[in-house]
Amino acid sequence: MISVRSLMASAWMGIQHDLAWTTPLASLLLQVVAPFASAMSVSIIYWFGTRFSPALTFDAARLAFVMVGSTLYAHVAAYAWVPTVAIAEGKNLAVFPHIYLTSRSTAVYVTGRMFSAFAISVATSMMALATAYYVLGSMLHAAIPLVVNPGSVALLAVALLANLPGALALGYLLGAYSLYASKFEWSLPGYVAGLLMVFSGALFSTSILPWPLSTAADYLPYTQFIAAARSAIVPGTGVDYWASIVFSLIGGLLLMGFSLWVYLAAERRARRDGVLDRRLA
Amino acid sequence: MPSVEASGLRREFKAKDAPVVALDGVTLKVGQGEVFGVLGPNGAGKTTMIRILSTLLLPTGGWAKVMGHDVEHEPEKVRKVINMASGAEKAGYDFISAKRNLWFFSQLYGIPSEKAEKKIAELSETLGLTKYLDRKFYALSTGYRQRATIARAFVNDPRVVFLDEPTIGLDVMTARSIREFLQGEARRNGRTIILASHNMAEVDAICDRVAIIDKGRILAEGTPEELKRSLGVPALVMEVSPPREGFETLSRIAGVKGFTSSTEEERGLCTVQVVVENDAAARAAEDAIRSEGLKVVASWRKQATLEEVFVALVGQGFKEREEEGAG
Repeated sequence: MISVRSLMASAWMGIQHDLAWTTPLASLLLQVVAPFASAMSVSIIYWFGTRFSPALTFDAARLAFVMVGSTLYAHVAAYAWVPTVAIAEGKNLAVFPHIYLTSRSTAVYVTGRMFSAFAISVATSMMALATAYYVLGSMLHAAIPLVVNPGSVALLAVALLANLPGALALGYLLGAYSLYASKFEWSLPGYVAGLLMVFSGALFSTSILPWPLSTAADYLPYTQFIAAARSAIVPGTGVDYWASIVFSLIGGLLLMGFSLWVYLAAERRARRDGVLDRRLA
Repeated sequence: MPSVEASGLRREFKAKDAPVVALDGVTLKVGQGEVFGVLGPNGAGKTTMIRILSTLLLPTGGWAKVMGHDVEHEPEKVRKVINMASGAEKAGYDFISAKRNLWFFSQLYGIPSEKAEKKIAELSETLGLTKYLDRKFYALSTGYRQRATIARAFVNDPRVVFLDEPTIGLDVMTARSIREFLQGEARRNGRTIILASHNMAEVDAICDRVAIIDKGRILAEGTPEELKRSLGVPALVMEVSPPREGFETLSRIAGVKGFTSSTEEERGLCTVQVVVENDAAARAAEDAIRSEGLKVVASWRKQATLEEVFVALVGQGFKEREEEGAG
């Protein structure tokens, strides 16, 4: 019961943190900028490539592939880093040690923060995708093949939920590092985001990566999530939706179990080393 | 059952050259409803002790129990009955109101929302915070932020509260109201309060018992009155002219336990306060000042204060210690 209440309160705090610094509508709209920019920039690069390279021809389905992939990548990036932010901010405001003292572990708090970030990111990513679809379609005079009906939206929602354990896993791992970091903790998520962009199949198929990287990339829950989510709304991707969902969910759960263990171990060690209440530089 | 009990509590920190011993075999017992002061200079081990007792840090030796629960092996049980606050931190989320900050922490403790709201209202009323509850945390003055921090430390009805310099940087009236609140919580609600401080007057005023700690060790423990009586004879106070710094000769006199000095430029005087074991040491101290060519404008004996006890036990004046630290 305490954990549920803590989880809800932590999610509430996440909403406050992400939306209450200005009017909720304004902050929500501002958070559309990152996934929208991600979708637009990658899509326009693709379009330019087809215009100026004789080897490539423009394919609206391909445009849909990169547009959806880059938006979903931005979605994962938006909330998987939340524990890093929550811990760093908590240490800066000196609230983190007090959160630690309220329960068995701060994992409940960072999980709640991630849930709120997930909800906000789902809303902003979908708004970004819809806007990018409209802007790119008008700008490039292209009929981007997206399937939007109750069935495809439901499949997309299932895919987004199936990715939660995987994103939590990444969050716990990065959070474990943040428990120790006294500076530069922001940089690690940036490096991981770069790797994720290459290995998650967000912009191109993982099959073009050299072996064994291609195989390793295929086993990532994030790759499976993006493949499943993409196949829910982009026709003809050739992906087995349910197989990807199962891989994403099981891979995510396994990784989450491991990451949570790492986080709890890091927390115990941080207590031993006396860094839980260390202020950040 | 004591609220807080420790035996041989030790904490070493790794360092490049050799381990730094922050706490060196601390043994203590604090009863329920007691306000227990921990006095010590910077780096004495006060905060380390509080961090261990509040389960933020593991000891490297010895043991400690809070309400019968071992801090090392049963931290979850300890956390259910404690809370803590530090005056230096004023911890809170800047972008939400003081009320929502308090509510948030109450939820982390699993308190039903309605009960939490009632508790927050009660605490705010007692601490004079009610009018400012809806202000965002960053918009509160230092004093009200500190009141909110103190309120947070009591929101879960803890049996033991650890406070580190709770009134640091506050004006006299705010500090006084916080002290009254703390005393009330101990007297009326039987909470045990462990108060780490540099503020001798504060500790003297509200603590039932005091431990003086330095270099990780408890040097003395008792009620403020017992500690003051332990010095035996009243201290010697001298007004010396012309003003100057450095009275190291005093520390070489047998029976002199410690001293402090302060310069009053406007009066052209220096006030030297010497903690002595006996009257002979007081006379010798006065003679030593005169033998250095200084004029003793006035001298009198004064009943020892907690500060003098502290000086006597720690062994040197604050100024000398600061210089040592700076060096």
